[in-house]
Amino acid sequence: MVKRIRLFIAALVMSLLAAAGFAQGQKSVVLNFWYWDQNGEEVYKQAITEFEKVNPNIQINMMIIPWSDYWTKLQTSLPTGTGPDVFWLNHPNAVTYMPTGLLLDLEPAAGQIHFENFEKNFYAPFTSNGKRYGVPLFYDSIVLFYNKALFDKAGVKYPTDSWTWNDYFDAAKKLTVKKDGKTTQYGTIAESDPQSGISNFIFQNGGSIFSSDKMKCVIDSPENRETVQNQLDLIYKYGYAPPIQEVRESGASTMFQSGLIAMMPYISANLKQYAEVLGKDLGVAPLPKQKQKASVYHNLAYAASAKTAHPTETKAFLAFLASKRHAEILSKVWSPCFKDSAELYFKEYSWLDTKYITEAITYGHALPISGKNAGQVYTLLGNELDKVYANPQVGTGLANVQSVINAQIAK
Amino acid sequence: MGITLRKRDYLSFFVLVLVSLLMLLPFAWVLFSSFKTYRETVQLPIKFLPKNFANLSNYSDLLVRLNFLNYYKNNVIVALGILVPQLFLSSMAAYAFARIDFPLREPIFISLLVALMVPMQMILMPRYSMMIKFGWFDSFWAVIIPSIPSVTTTFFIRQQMLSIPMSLDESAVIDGAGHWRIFWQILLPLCKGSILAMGIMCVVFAWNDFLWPLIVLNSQGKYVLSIAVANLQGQNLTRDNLLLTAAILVSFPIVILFLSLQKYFVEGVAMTGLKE
Amino acid sequence: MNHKMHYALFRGYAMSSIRNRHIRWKNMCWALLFAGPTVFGLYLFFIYPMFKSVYISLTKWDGLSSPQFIGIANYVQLLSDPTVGKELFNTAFFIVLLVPITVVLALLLASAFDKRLPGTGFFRTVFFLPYVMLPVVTAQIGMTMFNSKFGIINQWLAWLGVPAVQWLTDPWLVRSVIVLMNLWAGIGYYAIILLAGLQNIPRQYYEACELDGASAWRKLTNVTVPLLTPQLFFSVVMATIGAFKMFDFIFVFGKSNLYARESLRTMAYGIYERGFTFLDIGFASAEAVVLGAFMLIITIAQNMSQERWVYYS
Repeated sequence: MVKRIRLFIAALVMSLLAAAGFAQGQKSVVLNFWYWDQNGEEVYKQAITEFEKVNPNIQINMMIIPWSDYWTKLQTSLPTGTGPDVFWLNHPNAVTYMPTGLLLDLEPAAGQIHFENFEKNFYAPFTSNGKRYGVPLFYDSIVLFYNKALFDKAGVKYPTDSWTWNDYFDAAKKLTVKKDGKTTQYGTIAESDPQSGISNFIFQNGGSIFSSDKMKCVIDSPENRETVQNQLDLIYKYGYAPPIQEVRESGASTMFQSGLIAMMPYISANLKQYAEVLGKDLGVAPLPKQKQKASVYHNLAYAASAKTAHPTETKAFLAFLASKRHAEILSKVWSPCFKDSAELYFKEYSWLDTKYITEAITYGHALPISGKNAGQVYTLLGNELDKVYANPQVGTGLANVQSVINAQIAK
Repeated sequence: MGITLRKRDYLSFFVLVLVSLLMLLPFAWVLFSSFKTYRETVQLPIKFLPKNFANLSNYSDLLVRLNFLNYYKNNVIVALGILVPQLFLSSMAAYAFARIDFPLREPIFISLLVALMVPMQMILMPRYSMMIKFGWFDSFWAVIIPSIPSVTTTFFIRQQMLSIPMSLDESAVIDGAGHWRIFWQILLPLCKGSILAMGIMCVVFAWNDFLWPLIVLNSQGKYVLSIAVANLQGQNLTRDNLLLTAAILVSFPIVILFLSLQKYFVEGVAMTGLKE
Repeated sequence: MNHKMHYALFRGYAMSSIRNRHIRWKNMCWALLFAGPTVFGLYLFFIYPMFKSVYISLTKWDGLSSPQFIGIANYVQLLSDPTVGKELFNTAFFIVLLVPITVVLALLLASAFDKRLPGTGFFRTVFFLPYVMLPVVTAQIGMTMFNSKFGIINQWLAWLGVPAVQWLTDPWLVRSVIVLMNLWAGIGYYAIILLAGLQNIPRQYYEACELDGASAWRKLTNVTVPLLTPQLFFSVVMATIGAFKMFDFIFVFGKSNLYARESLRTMAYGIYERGFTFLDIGFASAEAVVLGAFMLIITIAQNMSQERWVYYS
């Protein structure tokens, strides 16, 4: 037994020594780059290889961090200066991080980065006090996905870009199939999610969730109550959409990909997976309009740490990340923000009217966020809207949401 | 001493088989799902059986493209690194709390239980700063060392030691043995069962530990399997076929280890020559 | 050192019997050698960071800027927050339900495992398997099996004519599902623990019982349980602490499903949510301190009850 223990300890010591070798210093400058999407591994490997060839003295150490704990890890490491030099940032967290001084001000590097290659809408959410902190990365908008096979079976014409809510509701009616009192196929879904669901319809009806200075929640208005009631009616009055609990249990995407839902307003980012499963049966259309066209868009950006030990190299890397070449590489997986690059992404899905995804930006509303603690408010908004959707009548639902949200903003 | 099976043994055996099958059902589903394509996993209603049992693409995807083979190596380093020192140090500590009389022994022991009551999320940041200060940041030291001291292992072995009669110690003392010899030659061999059980639990913990390694590692090459599995869960969509296959790959070595250790679970000990 | 002093060294519990200063000093040195590394490690890596947490509970902090000292405001808010009340209730609910059932079932299982029959190794593995599986995956499996429309459980119930049960949305049902899943994942752990304890019960005791014509139940209550009390005590304490900290399954269930989340939230979940989703680390720390205090009180009470029912030889 003692011999075995000695063997163990020997193996342990040897492997630890080997592992410690990893922690040795490198001759060139090493930049840490963090992001959260496994799907990007191949393209980033390629991008980094190209960058390192041109900049042999810089080495990029890329790390994919699980989405569930990305912000926890960022929060723990960024203030200590041992975190990433460049990392992904989204709208709500941009609002949280910008006032802390932990993000690198990119204005001095504007000459290298060339922000003019991006739409203002893409870097505006990453701007604070006139200073820009983020290099736009890729975006997504909300579009209407639909299942052509189910439309054909019901004899319903595909959605067009002149659809109004009435057309939308009509189609949903014809696409809902009931058997023995149970619904086996729903025409559409009514989602309470602030990005892919209700917000789009609120904007289409001319309402808004937050005031223009983004400091107050104004969701309780007559137009909004009308909008929400319409959505609730889809579920409770007409049965064209599944109850929200069912959507939460089984997952909207899974239901759509199984052919249980005929059309679904959802994030364009899921295009790849939907196309994989539905193939030629997948269709993309713009959301229906009411008083106006509207779609919620969101984009990510590269941000840098203010505490980086290598600001020059970081800026050089950011300059590369803002280049057209990088957008070309990215277009294999996502729709880049770089002007006119999104078409490269959509080339692969030529049978889909992917132009609607890009078009949606023109009438797009940024992700509804508000207040100084935007991330928290956004999460709370989702929670409160979920509660509203559990009831067939709007009632005082929106008033509740408004008071809770305003209380949170005030904190 | 032969094995005589009575009627009630048959009944309990039958119940055991039935319950085992129920317990195995979810695993059967996970195993079958590892042969499915992504498309198959997003079909509702859920189909139990895969279309093609020979579809090993998930396995090759994970092991090669997603680098699981490398992560296995890391897991073994971490698990061994924690296991050996922990069993050693905790059994020593258990001895101290069971056999050595020193001031404040009981209060100190209870205070150790406080270590269990601390939620990991609350101590992330102070621990992280400590790792930077010690220079262990982004190395396996940072993952291994804080997990070596264990209340559970110490507590359990102490319980075992407390139920070993003092008369054994006393006869050793008469022979002139000191604390070390009594620990090493008398008590420890009698605690083999507890050490085995705690060893297994330690390996499972070290193998599956997620949050602390994630926070403290700064290179993807050093990732452990639990982090790699978490990476399979995307922000919007998760490829369930990969996730479930990963579950099989991660738990498989531990199951094999456990099965191979079964022969060490001996049935009872015949303690002769002892009179209370 | 003469035999008397040597013998006194191993006196065991009664501290007052060792009056000799030299022996006390020697004992402390030995204790330092044996327990020092573990105790020091635990204090350094667990208890010392917790102190920082206690300080944070008196501040308002988002983790990124500097903490602002606000005294006991967090604690005052804790007392009046209805969500915290719900979390307290759920925590208590899970403890009261899980601890006794887990220990009792584990005990029955362990005695079933304590046989040298050929298939036993297989059975032990089957029950241990759930403990080995990553909690994320176990929770996913649970969510899939208990899905009200497509899950296996409801499909079977449909064959028996039972209408679809809302496992994941009804508040009490979803709690039962969590209890079931924790039992499924936890029983194997405690069964192995108790099995290790069973191995050190001398065969003679059982054989003596059998000679008296005792039934299996009698053997269990008169021989097994009394001699297993040290490990049973361990199990009760650890199961309680584990139930206090219960988080993993609730987190996965609640991630995309608000309705499950609201019925399931425990204090451990609330701490995580307040601290990392809402970035109110001060408040989360306060809740953590309160939870820790509860755990400590209960553990001390359990420790004091040792004398009544735990039998060390």
